[in-house]
Amino acid sequence: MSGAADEIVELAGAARERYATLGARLVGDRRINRSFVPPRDLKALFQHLIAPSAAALDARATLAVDRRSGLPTLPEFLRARARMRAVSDGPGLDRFRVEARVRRARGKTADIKVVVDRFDPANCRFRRAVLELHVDGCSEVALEGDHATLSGHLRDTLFRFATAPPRLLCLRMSDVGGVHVTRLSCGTTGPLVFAGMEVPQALAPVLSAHPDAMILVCTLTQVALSDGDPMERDDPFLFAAADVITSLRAAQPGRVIYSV
Amino acid sequence: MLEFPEPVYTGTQYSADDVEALRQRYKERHQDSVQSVQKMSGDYGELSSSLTGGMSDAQWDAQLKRLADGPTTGDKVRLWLSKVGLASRPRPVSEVLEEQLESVQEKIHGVARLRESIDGHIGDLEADIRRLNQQVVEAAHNEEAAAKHVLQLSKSLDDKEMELLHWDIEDHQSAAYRVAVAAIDELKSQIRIHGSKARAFGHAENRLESVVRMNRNFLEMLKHTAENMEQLAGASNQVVEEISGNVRALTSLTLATDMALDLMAASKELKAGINKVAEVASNTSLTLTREIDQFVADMTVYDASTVDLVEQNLSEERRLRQTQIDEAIEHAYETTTS
Repeated sequence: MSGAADEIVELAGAARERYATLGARLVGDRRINRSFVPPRDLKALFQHLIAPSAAALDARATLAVDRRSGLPTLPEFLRARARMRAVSDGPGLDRFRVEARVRRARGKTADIKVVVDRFDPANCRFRRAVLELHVDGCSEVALEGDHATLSGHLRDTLFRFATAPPRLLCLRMSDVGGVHVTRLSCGTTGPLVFAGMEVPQALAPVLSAHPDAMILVCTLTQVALSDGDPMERDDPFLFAAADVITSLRAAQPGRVIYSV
Repeated sequence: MLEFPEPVYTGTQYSADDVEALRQRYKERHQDSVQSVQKMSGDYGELSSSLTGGMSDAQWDAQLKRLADGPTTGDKVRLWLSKVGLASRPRPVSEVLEEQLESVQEKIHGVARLRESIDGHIGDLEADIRRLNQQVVEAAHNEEAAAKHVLQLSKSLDDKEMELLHWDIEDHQSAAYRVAVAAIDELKSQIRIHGSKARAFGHAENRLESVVRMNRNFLEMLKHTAENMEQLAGASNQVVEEISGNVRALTSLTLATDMALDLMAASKELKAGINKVAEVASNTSLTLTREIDQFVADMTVYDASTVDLVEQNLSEERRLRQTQIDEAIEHAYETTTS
């Protein structure tokens, strides 16, 4: 049941160093907007992927990377996070982080905006789900001034399905009584594509033309009740994405591609 | 006036006070070290016991059963009660596992940091042992040189005293006789001075040796601790890898509908892994505690022997002072009666 060995690539030596350095630049790119897990958090994480001293007890000779996502596996994520927490006072990146802000509140009803940051341990990707919720008499939402605290089934659903396909997340959220999703955006950071990893078909020509290239794919899906299904929205970007990516043949190492 | 040169003593010149100060300094340092090792042992014990996340066997079994069978009737009742706000909701198993994993990883990091500080102590101790060994060798050389010099002086004293026996009684008032007597007094004084130096170097050598011995004990204990920590981190890392595989599968399972996977078997692996870490943690923690107890016992013995030695040194000093006084009185007597 544990992850098959061929799902994980162990990077060693110069490849490991290059991955940590270049990866930190990519995931920490300031152009990545607020719909995604904050790039500064990811950059800090990448900067701690390698132990400062090879003699340290938690130091490893190799770095385990998920072949499909090109991002660190859960143990590597946790190791880097433990190192990061030891040196910085800030909260830093978490496996699961929920923040809820109250936009409007009247009696038992309220509109809240929930931001969930989650490391997906199964697919090794980073996901930010931003949900706009209309709350009507839900005991699992505690309003405290500008902030709200989520608990119970609502919080569990977010924990389990924040990394799921947006439609499934929407569907599961409908099981939570007293809460309605009015708008949802799911920003996924990853895969990080480079030679040796599983390369999406659209990016294969880029990688074959530039074998040293490392490309970070960030995808954003938005679902809004008022806007209808995004597939039916006639969104030109949605259909142009493949063309945009293949046209970026001149990609240099470290270029970030947004596929929206 | 002497026929042979005075020896040159290198390095530290020890007096009884210096040796006492040295003893005191190291006694304090060793007590500090014991305290810091005891604190480290406490931290380590805390870290190692918390590696299992504080979950009892029964709690693990309950989690595993839930994994295998899905929600129990109790769970369903609790779920219903939680909906009406009368009970807390059972948490998702995958979340509990992730928390365990995160906690284990944090603890490994804690152990790693503790080991870094132990490595620092080991380096300091090794440097100290090197320096002290050098001082022991120097003190031993000085002691030998002083003893050799005392023997030469003593032989010379015997010769002079033999010579004096051959003087006629009427010549005792002569200048030459008085010169010979003065030479004998000077030799006695020199024997006293260098004899005292030989003793001081000898005591310093013994004292330094016992300090080195204690440092070696510390070093050995710290090295054991470092090895224990490596073992613990190794076992924990392995468990982290194993649990991660399970978390990965469980998270996929949350989304997938394929329930054909053998969850029970996987969960048993998980429990075995956690138990393995718990065993290593408990064994290494126990070894460390035993070592520290033994060490504290050794410290007491060391301290008792130190007290003995210092007392012996002091009584030696007292005896020497008395001899000096006796000799002075004797000399005064001889001078007045002659």
